[in-house]
Amino acid sequence: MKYLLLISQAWLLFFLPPQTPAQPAPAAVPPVSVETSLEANEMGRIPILEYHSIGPTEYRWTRSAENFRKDLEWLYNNDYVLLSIEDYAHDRYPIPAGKKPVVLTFDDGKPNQFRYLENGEIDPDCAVGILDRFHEEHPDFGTAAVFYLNRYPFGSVAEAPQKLAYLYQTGRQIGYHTLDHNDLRYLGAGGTLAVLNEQKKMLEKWMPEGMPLSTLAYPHGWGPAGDRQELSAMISVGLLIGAEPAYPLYHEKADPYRTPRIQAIDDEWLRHFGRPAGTIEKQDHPEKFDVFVSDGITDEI
Amino acid sequence: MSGIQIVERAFRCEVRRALLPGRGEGKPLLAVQADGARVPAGLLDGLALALGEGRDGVLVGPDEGTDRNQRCGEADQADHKLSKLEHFTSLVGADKR
Repeated sequence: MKYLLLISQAWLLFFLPPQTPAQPAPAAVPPVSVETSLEANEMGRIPILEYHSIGPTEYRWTRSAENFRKDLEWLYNNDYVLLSIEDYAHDRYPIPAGKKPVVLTFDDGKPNQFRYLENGEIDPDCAVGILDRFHEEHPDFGTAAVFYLNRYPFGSVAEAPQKLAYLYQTGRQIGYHTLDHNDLRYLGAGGTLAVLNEQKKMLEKWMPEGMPLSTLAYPHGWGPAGDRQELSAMISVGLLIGAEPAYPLYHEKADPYRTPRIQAIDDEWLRHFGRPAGTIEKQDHPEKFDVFVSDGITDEI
Repeated sequence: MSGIQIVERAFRCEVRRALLPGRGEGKPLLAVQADGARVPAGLLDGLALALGEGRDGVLVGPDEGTDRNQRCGEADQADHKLSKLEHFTSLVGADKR
């Protein structure tokens, strides 16, 4: 919450000449108000927003391009900056003081998330195109976003190397969503690792050197039954499909293999952020949860 | 268009064998009986086939129920099944209605 820091200027009295009782008292120096950033709270929760399709019309699993742009505007106007899922997974918070991290996630590797036009340019109405344009206009917002892929990344195996290289170069990430959107509940942790290995072999053909791959969005939000600790052999974070803000992983309530997300649909914006549909304006303390605010110190919590 | 639209915040639906208007007697198809929900007519067949005959489904928005991840997952699963169905019907040129 915004607050005003009142700076006393009493120190000025030390530099004033001595006064005799006969002299009138100096006029009171009015306090100077300085608007500072939000108060740090690094035990607060972090919204990990979840998108599927980006399209011309809003549906249950499609965010319209217009609404997606408004989502970004609202986040920016309300002191959010983008955090990568890999930073979240490894307790890194390169977030300026007073700012709030938000993670953007996109499931299913849909063509409308990353598409080239016939002239070779990125479609300005696909997710990557919209994110690129927004970053041009608001470079301090960041570029991070993670795309959870299946067998046909963004609908085209042929374009996969080029697209993954572009994502890496522009600070985006990819993650596992399994080749066939598998229901992992019946596989157990061992079977899940086998499925992930299968996808890893495919993705590694296309991924540029150095691109991390350590997070999994469970298809349908359903991970393997039982102990998921075994998943740590391949992944650092397993993401659910709903429906709460996430604790940072150093928080005692965090479970890296049951990390919740928030679906970026109007009902959920209202529920968690008090944001009416279609609005972009700055709100006073909009979150309905205890939100993470960075102290700007990156080497300690 | 693809995907199931949740037109109410929550509705319960029962998938059962029924006659759809205009299909004629003797050609039972799956249908969805939704409790007071405004389900677009064009989605009834798709919903029924996505869920499967004999199953009771609960398609809800993400803000209902005690285990919201489970509910969201069910809705996502139904959407994926319907997407596959639509893909198949487009391949064979079938009219799913």
